[in-house]
Amino acid sequence: MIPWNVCSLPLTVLFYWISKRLNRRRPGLLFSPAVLTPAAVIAVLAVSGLPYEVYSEATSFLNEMLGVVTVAFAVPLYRNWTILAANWRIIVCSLAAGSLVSIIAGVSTAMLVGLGETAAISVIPRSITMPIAVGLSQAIGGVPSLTAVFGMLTSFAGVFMAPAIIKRCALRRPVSIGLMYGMGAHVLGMVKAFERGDLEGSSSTLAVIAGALITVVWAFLLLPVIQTWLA
Amino acid sequence: MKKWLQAIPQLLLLLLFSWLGKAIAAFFHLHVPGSLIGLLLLFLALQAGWVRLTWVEAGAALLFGDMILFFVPAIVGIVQYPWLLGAKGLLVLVVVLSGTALVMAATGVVSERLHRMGEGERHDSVERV
Repeated sequence: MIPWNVCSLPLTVLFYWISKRLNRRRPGLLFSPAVLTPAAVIAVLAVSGLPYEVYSEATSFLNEMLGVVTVAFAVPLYRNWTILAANWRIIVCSLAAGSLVSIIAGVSTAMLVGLGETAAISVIPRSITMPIAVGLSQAIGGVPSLTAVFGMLTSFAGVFMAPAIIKRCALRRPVSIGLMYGMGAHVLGMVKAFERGDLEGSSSTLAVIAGALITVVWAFLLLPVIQTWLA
Repeated sequence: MKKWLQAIPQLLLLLLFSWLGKAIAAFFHLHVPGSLIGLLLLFLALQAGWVRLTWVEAGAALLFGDMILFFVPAIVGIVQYPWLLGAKGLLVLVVVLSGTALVMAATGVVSERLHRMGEGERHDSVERV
């Protein structure tokens, strides 16, 4: 018998380390550690018959670390504060618009296609950075796992669609492009924005952090409305 | 590995703020995730100069570099929702793709409009900051 409560964490770290090295040799979304590592763990669960609850309990340390990562976002926020202070009206207004659209579009389309109430609530934080999204999902009665999957898909989708949107909407300002990347595609979008330039990168960083905070505000303001609407 | 060991004091400081945030959230019965309160506290501490950037910078960079590791258990949780891999999973893609396109267009267009309005009023471009 394998002592899973001891082995699960080291095994996850090992899979992560291997997939990170693999990704360095074979770049691409499908070879991203965000896809490969969970896939490997799921394969182990399937083969060994280990229930998810046991695995989740054994790796709760990683969940705890998500909170620490969230706190660490204070560092880029502090570093980019001058950009935010100088452009705060533009940044706050466009992120407020973006996150409002994210919540309304997410909840309404999820209900429209019949995914159900739990999925609709879990879709609310999908456009913000994972650590904060998972925390918010828990706080508003969603399922963190569903939110994590929605969030990951969103990040991929955003990076994939961004060039077309920049062209269609005729976005030219670096700040606009950065905000778009950060609000729409969080983590991966940030990487892409930095590839375009420093100002794009910094404003996408701000969009990731401020966009998450603004989404939290919207979520709590709109939650009563959404709940009565879903019921 | 060595980088992680060197960053332990910084990581502990970040952990302290995370706990502080959680304690405050629990004490005041707030529904907001405690880690967000920790984020704001650390930000205020940095602004006030109580915490120096160099005390947390390296730790934060390490955490961001390997952020994916921390949400692996959450993603693995999809095994509880096998319907995601079926036809309903395709519907999820529809929700995500349409929503993301709208979010990006809204954010970008609002920002672009506000920039243009700002340039109408005053000539010093906001992009020069």
